[in-house]
Amino acid sequence: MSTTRPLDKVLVVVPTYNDSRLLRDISAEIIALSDAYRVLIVDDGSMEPVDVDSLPDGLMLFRLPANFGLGLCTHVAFDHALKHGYAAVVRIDADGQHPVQEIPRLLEQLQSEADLVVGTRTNRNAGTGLRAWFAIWVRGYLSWAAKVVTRGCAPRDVNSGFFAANATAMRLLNKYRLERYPEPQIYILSCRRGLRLKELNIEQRERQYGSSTLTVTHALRLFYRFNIFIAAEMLQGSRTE
Amino acid sequence: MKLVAVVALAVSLIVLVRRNLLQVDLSFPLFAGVVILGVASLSEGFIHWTAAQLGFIDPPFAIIMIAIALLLAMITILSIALSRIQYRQMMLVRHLAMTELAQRETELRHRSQGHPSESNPQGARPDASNSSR
Repeated sequence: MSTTRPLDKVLVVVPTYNDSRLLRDISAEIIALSDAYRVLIVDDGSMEPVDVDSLPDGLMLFRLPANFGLGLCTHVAFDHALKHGYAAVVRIDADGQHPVQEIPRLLEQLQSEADLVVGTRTNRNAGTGLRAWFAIWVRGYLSWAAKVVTRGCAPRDVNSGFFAANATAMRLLNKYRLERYPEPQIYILSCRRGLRLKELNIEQRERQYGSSTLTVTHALRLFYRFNIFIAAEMLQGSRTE
Repeated sequence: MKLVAVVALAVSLIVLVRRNLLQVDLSFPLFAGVVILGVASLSEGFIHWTAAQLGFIDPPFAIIMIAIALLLAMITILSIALSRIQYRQMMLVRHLAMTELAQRETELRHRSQGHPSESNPQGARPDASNSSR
């Protein structure tokens, strides 16, 4: 579908919302990996703006005027990357759980006949109790439904926010409205629109502080959105901008 | 009494629009509902005819059901309008982001090529909530 081009210029986007404690370390780690990587932090309207002075030199920061969700953060990164000739975008979470050192492997895979590479978490810990049971059940359902809709093309971890996309994938995904939690939407759209998707097993890092921001209400809304998206996709394909 | 109630509702809507609390386009379905249902409810014959058509034994109940249906329709219309506004807002934010980040991209490129940006050698924007390092 697309020609492979050298990844001489890569935009690494770190969306953040009320979670800036590890931004400095994550950014420094990314910058240390390669000169080809440029870091873009998208502050999704945090209550307290990200402290610019605490960040390493040479990165970009954009603060959204309100909380719009990860979909818009991803669009902002894609828009910028396409406009300024970046060969790829890597998205990584700000909570420090995604392994920064895996970015080169993700990009390697992207160069070997793939348009989108997803980091599939192999050691996700759901915790214990009713909430954990619910989380495992929801994940299982999302993964199964995504596989069915994409005839097996979707990754096992459809909620992974750790992925790399090349210009072909960015251009395609930018035609759609990515929602607040856009990961399943991104992978299903990519598969159903003929992009070449690969997945790479990754070991998620231990959470260094706090707990997941995904509450039961959030999970229910995510579940609802996912099903509505699947239904719409089955009926007529997603809306384009 | 009915006529007074209808006029009062219509005037309330006009006041809301006049005070910029309600956008004129969004007030249209509400205004149309007030006028059509209000005027129609003045006629006893119309109420009985409507109830008979809809199969209601109690005529006022027919009007209540129509009013609820209209309210649901209006809520749907307003939700569509709100969704459109949100999408437009997102497009504006994306445009804003592209403009601001383009400026920063240029600064960084100049720095990496060895000649600092004329307007802002440090690459930091003094004012900004959207700033760069």
